[in-house]
Amino acid sequence: MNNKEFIALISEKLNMSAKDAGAFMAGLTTEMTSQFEEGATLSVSGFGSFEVKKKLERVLVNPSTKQRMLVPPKLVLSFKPSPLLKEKL
Amino acid sequence: MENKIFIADLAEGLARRKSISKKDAESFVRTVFDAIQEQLLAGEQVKIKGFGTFKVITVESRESVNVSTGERFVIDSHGKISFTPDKTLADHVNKPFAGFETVILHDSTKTEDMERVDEAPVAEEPVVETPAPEKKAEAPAKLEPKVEAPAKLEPKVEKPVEKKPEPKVEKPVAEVKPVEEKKPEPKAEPVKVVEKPKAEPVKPAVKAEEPKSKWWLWCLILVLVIGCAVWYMNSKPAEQEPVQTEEVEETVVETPAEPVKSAEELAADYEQVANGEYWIVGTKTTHVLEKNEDLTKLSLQYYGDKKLINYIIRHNGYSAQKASNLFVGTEVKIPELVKRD
Repeated sequence: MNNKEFIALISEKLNMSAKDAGAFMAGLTTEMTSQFEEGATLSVSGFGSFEVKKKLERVLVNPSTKQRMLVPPKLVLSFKPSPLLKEKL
Repeated sequence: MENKIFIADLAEGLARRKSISKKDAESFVRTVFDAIQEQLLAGEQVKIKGFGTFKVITVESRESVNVSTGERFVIDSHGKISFTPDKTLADHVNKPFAGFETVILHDSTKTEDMERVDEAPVAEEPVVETPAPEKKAEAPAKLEPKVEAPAKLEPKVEKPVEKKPEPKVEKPVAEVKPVEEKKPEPKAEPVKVVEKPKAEPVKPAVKAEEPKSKWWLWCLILVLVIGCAVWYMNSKPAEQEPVQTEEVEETVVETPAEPVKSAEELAADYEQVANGEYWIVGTKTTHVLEKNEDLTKLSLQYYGDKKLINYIIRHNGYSAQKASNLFVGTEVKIPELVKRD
């Protein structure tokens, strides 16, 4: 299911136009982006939690060329499903 | 990262952004997550622009061992939710570290080198900085840090020596004083000297050192002169363009301290290979890739050494992945290399 279909689904559920739903969705993602940028942890009950985690730098070796590369540290957004959701699957 | 947020906080932000009521916003946010969940449970993958993709991955059943009983049992096949953040979101989250890139390490680079390199700029910085703020201060004041620096290297040796140059040299007061106090002591209380000739052979040594101290005096003067010369050479470029020199220092963080040379100055305009043997000082030529050619071959062809492929990759700004997947007809810039000192 792609973004368009998803927005259509939302708009149907809430009885609003697809355009409005798209605009709200965009607003929601920008809001979430700005929150995550500040390192916030979002938890949605019954769904799961989103957390920004730091990955340390590491040295990586290309097995075929034996070339060593230094991968810099980075921040990634991770998602952990809630036990409730896990059970339903 | 203690700030934990919930749906309500998200809804508040959304309400502010879109000027809708909080209630509407909250029901919208809930609907979004419910819809995602619903679709996931139906086995669909959900892709949301600007956020990411949710997927259900089925994990095959596998056998495992109960750690406490040692019993073998089977973990059933089950679904697992995977979430891959959208590129734009990932980039935003990673903003603090966005400046870092994957660096290809040269074969000669050892981990000890990295540790040493880390220390080098630290040692370097105070030298660079000291002339700048103290430029307008008097000359003797500037010499002080230099005098103290060698003093730290040979603290025991210089103490006795510094009493004599003291009137000529500035005021490394802190170090001279303890020495001065020591000397009057044996003179003022000769009794003590008599008492401890066996216990402390140090005091007779003070007298014995007198002929030696002249030798040390010369050494100190030599060190001072060298210190002055180094300071003077460092301060000259700093006076002309203090801002620029600092920038150069920063960009070349990973290279050990070196006097700025023309090759290095040229190299500052290009992306460099960290800890490499050569500076990239320009583009020698461009090469259009043909069939069955790759960067390793180009490196061998232009430099006679396939290890120098790193420089080509760096000069063209390729990622490691891209470098190994170039199309025929790609124009590859061949960098001009100058050996580093």
